Amino acid sequence: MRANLLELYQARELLYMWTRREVLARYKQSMLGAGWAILQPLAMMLVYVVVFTTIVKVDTGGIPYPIFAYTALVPWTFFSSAISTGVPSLVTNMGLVTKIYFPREVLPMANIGARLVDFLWASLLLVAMLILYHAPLTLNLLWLPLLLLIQIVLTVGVVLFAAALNVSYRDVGQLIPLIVQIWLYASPVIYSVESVPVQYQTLYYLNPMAGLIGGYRSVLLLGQPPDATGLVLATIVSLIACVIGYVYFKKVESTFADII
Amino acid sequence: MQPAIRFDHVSKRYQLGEQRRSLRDVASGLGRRLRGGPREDPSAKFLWAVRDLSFEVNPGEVLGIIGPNGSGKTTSLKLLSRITYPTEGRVTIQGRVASLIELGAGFHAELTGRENVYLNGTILGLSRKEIAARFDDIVGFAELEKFIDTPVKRYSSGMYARLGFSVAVHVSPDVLLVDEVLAVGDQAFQNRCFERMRQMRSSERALVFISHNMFAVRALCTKVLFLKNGKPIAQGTPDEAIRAYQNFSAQEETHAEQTPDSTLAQEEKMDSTPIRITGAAFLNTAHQSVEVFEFGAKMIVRLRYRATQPVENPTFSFVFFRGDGAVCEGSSTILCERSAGLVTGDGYVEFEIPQLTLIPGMYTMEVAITNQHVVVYDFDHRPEQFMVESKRALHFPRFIAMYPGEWRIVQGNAEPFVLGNFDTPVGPPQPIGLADTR
Repeated sequence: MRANLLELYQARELLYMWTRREVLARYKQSMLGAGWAILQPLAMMLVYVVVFTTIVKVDTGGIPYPIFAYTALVPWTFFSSAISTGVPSLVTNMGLVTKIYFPREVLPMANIGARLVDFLWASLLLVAMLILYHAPLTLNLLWLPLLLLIQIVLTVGVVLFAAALNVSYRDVGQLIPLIVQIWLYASPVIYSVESVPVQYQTLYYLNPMAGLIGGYRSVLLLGQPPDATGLVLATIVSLIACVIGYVYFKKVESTFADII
Repeated sequence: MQPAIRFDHVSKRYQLGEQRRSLRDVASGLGRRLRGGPREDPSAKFLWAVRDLSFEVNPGEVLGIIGPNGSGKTTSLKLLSRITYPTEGRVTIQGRVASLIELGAGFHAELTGRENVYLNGTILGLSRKEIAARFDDIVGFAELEKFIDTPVKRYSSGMYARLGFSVAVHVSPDVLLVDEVLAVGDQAFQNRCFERMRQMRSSERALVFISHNMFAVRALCTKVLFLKNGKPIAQGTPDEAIRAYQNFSAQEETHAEQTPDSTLAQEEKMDSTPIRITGAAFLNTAHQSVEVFEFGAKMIVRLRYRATQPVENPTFSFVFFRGDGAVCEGSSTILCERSAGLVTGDGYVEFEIPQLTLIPGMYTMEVAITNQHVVVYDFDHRPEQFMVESKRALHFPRFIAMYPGEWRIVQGNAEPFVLGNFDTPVGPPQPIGLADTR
């Protein structure tokens, strides 16, 4: 395992170059370029605002719905798009996988990196909105890097696991959109964590995105630290997911070129 | 000194059929195991792509691997580049490995040549600093200085391949694996690539070269391995192994091998046709089978046949193929006024080419026996090769061949001066009759 991690470290330039390739390719291909990174969560937010303030009323505890939703949508979009582009990345680059040797995890991880760049663009708009809505500026903002780090750890684990699974089993690609959709409803994106009945909240926090998104909201909108239970559970589950994902990936990696 | 490459009784097995399973397959597999059945699907078919292969390559050596399609050459290369792993045995490699199997790996159409050089170089193992240091050499070798900042989607396929090859060749690996990528670019570029690989031989690197071009193999390799059906048939000096391969090709029954990605062999093809080609040779004026012809020399193409049943005036045809795949010229008995009558038993047909004016290069031949209508009795792309050479530099890849004939120049009102052709001897010009040429 240490040899694997060493090899990954040695391939860090490739990871950087490939991430750059993913970012540049997307931006050069679309008319909006980087604008698309902002547009995606923004468009979702507008839809949510219309639906969840007029048709189905969601209790946000007094926070205006647009900023309530957008604060969750930016990290959520990072997570879901990292999965949807990262999972097929091995099969998409099948030519490379069958012809050249390099640590294969570079491919899905580069996708995660590229979506992280999108995330940074989208958060520019988030910052603008936070200023607009007079969000409180407190020291609790220092929690943000940690929340992002945990989210990255979680994303890496999930994407590596699913990407490796996708190589061996064809159906996984079809199931992923469905799973992501369910996960969306299982996370406090549309609604708030507080809406979940108290007796289920600990169980609810087993979903790391719950603790993370709740944490983003607490820190950015309320000026409070993230919920302790949520954060602890999110950290533990994310670390487990990352380890399982990476170990499984490296275990089946040697069969990729034969199966793809 | 440690060998750079070592194959130790290596075997590789592939499963035939659909590789990626669905969850339904998993469920049925589980069901089978729960019922006490075997772990793997017993009806699954396997193929040994490589079987008990052992060899060593030391630094400074060039190993050539030859053999018919499906003999395990590409699998060996994949094992060497650690893309796949052996089912049995061990592969050991010392040092950095670069493979020229996929040129332009990682190239993205929207990025410029410059960006792709960095990308491709990184995939092949160079650091950004190393690429920057070699950048000018890479672009210079590929002769793409003017286009290096244009997106590669605007490149021609030749430019694309030249850039890919150039990057790979500048990686300076300890072990270089080359798989039939030399058929890109024009003759001048191919020569430079070949020279580069030759340089590696003297620089203490190990090189593994897979090719169907026996001339290249002979010129470049220090030892050669002949594979068939995944098994090593001959291993030794280039001449020994190439001779073994040519003997094998000359045998009458050649069953095509099954590989995971090729179609099933038509093993019964040979038995059901009344007449078939059993051999081919290229002869010089002394009727000796040779491999090298001077540009413009006479060549006799000889095709041996065997007719197990009498056939009425079969049509024999051949066409030459150049090493880069260009279809050249040929001939066919369909042009002949006379009929061969009823052909039966063993024999051969010969076609005499008075002046072989194909441009210098390596050539193979496709032959066919048909009847006057649609029926094809036999069709084969022959393994025999010949080379056309010329003392003059005739690097005109747009040309397939150059006509025999005569050049004349008339300057203003002067007399026509006969320049002649390649076979015109040097000497005083011959005056020609004026009345017929104006």
